[in-house]
Amino acid sequence: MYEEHFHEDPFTGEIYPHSIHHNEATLKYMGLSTPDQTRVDAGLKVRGQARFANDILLNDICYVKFLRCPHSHAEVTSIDTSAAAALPGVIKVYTNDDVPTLIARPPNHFVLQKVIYNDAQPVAAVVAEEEDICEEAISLINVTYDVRPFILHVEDSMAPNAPIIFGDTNEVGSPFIVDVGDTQGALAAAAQVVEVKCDTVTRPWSGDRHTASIECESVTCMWDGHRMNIWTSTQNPHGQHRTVAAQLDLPYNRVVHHHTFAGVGFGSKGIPNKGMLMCAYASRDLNRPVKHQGGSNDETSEMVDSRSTQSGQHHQYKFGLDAGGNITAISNILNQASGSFGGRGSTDASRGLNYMFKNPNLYLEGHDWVTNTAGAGVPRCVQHPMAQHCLGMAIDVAAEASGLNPADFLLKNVGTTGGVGVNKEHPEWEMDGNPNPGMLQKLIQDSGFNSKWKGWTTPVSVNGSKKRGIGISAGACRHGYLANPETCHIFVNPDGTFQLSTGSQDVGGGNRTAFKLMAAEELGVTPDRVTVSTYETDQVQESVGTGGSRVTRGSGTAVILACRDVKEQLFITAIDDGLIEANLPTDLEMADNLIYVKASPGTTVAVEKVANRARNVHGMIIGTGSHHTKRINWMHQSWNEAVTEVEVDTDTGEVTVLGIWASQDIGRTAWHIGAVNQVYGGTTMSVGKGLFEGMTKDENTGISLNPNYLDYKLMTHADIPAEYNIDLYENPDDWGPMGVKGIAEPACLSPSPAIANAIYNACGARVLSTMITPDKILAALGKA
Amino acid sequence: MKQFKHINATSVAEATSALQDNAGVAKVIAGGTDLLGEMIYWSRPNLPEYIVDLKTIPDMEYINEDSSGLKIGALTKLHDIAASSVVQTKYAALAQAASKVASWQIRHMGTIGGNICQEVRCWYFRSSSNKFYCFRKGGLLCQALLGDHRYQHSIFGGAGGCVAVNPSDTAPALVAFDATIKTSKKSINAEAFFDGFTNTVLDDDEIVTEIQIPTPPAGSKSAFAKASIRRAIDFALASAAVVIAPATGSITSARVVLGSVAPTPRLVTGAGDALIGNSVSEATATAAADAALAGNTLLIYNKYKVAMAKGLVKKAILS
Repeated sequence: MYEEHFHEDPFTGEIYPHSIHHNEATLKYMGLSTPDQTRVDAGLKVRGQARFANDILLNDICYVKFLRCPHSHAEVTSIDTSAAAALPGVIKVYTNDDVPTLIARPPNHFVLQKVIYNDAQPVAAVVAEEEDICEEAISLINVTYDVRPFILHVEDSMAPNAPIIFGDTNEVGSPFIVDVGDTQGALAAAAQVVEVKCDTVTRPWSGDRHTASIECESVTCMWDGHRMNIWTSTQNPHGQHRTVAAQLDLPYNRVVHHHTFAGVGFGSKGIPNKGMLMCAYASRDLNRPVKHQGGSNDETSEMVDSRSTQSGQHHQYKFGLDAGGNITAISNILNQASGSFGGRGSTDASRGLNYMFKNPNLYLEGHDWVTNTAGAGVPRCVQHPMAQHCLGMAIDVAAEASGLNPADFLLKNVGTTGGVGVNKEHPEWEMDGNPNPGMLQKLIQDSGFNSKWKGWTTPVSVNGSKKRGIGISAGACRHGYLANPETCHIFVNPDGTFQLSTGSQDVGGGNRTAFKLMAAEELGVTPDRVTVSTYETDQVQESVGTGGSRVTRGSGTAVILACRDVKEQLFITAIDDGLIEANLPTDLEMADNLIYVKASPGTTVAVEKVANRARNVHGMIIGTGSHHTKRINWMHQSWNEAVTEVEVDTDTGEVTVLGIWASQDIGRTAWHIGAVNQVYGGTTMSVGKGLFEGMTKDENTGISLNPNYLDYKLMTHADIPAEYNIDLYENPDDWGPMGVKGIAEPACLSPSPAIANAIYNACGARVLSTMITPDKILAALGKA
Repeated sequence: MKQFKHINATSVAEATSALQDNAGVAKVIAGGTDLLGEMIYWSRPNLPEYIVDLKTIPDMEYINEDSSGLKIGALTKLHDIAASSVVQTKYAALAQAASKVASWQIRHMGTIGGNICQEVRCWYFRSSSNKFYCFRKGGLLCQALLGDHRYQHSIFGGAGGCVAVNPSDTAPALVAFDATIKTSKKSINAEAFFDGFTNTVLDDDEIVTEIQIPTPPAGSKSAFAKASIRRAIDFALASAAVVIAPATGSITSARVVLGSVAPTPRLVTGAGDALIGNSVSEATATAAADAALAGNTLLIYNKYKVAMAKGLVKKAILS
């Protein structure tokens, strides 16, 4: 059934299932902003009854904590744990000698390190009856280190005489190159060439973005004599389930990952963490439940060490412009801090330019360099928001050089087409529809940009030392791709209600609520008839991890398929048992909790009647949806555009954000409240990146100076403006189920460069970095 | 968190006696918002074994005004000071300073006594697990002087080799009002109460009991201005408190105090002198601001604080 509802990928020939409602302009349940569309777990969370990983307390539980190395690059030469082991209440002290192969991230991120590449890395673990005893014991461990030269800055890693941190060279892999058209020729022929350098990490070393989840890491592991039971904060339960199984040499069926709620992840909770692996190992070793909770001593260290950061980028842009302000060529050379994981960051960071502007000539060159910092990666997107911050500021410089109003410059140059050929790197790859120029025009109108804009060197208004400015930025990223595997189960109850489950965790983004509305829409039943359960790896098959802004699209595709499956089974039962007059299942459809004959909509039977018959006569109906995307790269671009208005106090360098207008290319809205909140969250994080957030290390020692949430500054409510507007710009996507697109990460793209551009408009301080703090503004104004 | 023994004091005498009984290994807390941070992070060696809790002492939380001025119990919450109509009306700089501390929640925990006794916020000093053993902890180095001193470090030299600033918001306001700090042993002028290396001149067994602020001159005005990176839960990069009399017409007395730019709140008589004999204007405010920052000794990364502090002095005077 429903074979006619699909979209074919002309590149792979793959068939993407479509909803039967894909082409409808409006839907019954999805996208509504009515207050009754509450989050499925709102009650539990508001009452404090939702069980998070840190709430798990088991009989006979003990605790593990890590001793972390204070150096950014060192080797352990001796370690004396005898005093710690002798402390009353200590159960066992582990070092690398005890767990030499336990590894969180190959090749060099062992759970307990012998060679340390970043100052947050653990070298010993203490298991004790109480957390405080763990900490007391840690203070008694005596370690000597061979401290080695460390590198914090990309340019230091690139230097010819730089110490080699690991491997044969500090450059990771070969350069990432995109070369389309004749960029050098076009630059030579351009009416003007605008060169801009932007950095996300500055001297003294600061700027890397840390993952700051509202819920710190927590994990409890319990070896029950046969199986490893795990409760942990995770975005990817099945992925972590496999990791633990592999590390403990257990078959998958002897590891179970129990559900707990998760207080977001931003990507950091999608990959293995050292606390979980240490707990699992110690629990089996000691035959006791073992708990690890991050947050008390080095608040951020657990995530920084185990996971990754949006790390330092140094961009060198060249824009070729013609006399009319059209971009004729773009060249970008990016040197990216790869951190201590040895991974690639530049490939992700650069690619946005592939499809954002109309320019026919493009040259991208990206290099990754090892540094003694956390690895390149998340939070909330890999490297795109950092690169977009730089690009958004650089475009503003180019716009000023063109003489055009920055909104007009963007409208003139931003890509406006979808379809084959938009992707310059792989023009054979089809991209989905582009919402521009409509989305950009609406943003400019809604924000009143053109009426507020007074000119490049003219603030919006001046009140003594306080100057107002306005800025705009537009960007896109490719998230929502590679959603594999895609799995959904639906149980049909005899009363005509439906229990849906996927293996995708809901970390607070609200995908369970979105699936409920999508399933109600596709099944033709009211949302109150659909329940979406939480995962339990014993009970739910693997589905896409909740990361990469892809779960609504990925597991959502499986939801569509599972809905089709149960409907077909219901229709066959109804026909075979004579509950409705029809010949073939394809003659039937469902709406308003009824099965009806398409050719005679008045001929109906209640869903519960058919479901009850199935239970009593044929057996329970279980529907499944299972899909695997074959394309190994993206087919998706999600635009995010923002206008911001700021006030800069030119005496103190302080910035007050007065207004934000953020537009998100959403494809189609599944759950309105959740989607709006996603964009609020992404926008706020982006503004925080522009103004405050940045990990900082001491240049002389390589030691982190702000591994806590006081000195690492996140946005507070007091920093958020009252004038805060979110626009979900609907433009149904060809590939996404119901037309949805991934939005969680794209929402972080444009607000921060719009803030930087507004600061420039207000006071002339062009600070081409992140963390645009008062000291940098005063320096740019020539006051420091 | 470092484990400790907790003692509830029920009188000032009981508190000081607990400090004497456990000399060298006991510290006091009131709101606990400062010291417990050090305990959680193990940020220095020799953390206290005993914590003497002052919250259990009755009758030390009050704001009373009489003909001589204002008396504030040391355990009075910062929120209550910020919200007090008498403080807002006659001692505005103090109300404004209290209102700028941290966040709503912390202002409901933190006390005025704790706020003026708080430890520095230097991120080397506060580094978890005592990673930097600096002058202030008994070491032989100031890592901040050679390192990253852009936020919480002095532009007016150090004390005992330490270049961290006094981070209190209320301290410059109290110095501007020429307040007196009453302790379990003595009464001392606010300016003399602070010490750049030991925070205060309190003995180990001495606690603050009351803040006394003389009635400001008739017709005076006062104001506090603070600059920080974000609007809540953030320590000052610089602050300024001024008390000027009279508010209009020829100024006869003026006290200008800088906060978060030196190891102690910095009363700059030259800045006050620049105002006396003049009336409040952009020009006199600028002259006072220039005088307030005279003699600064910048570090590499905190040059911006001069312009910032000048701006704050001007704002406070012109407000």
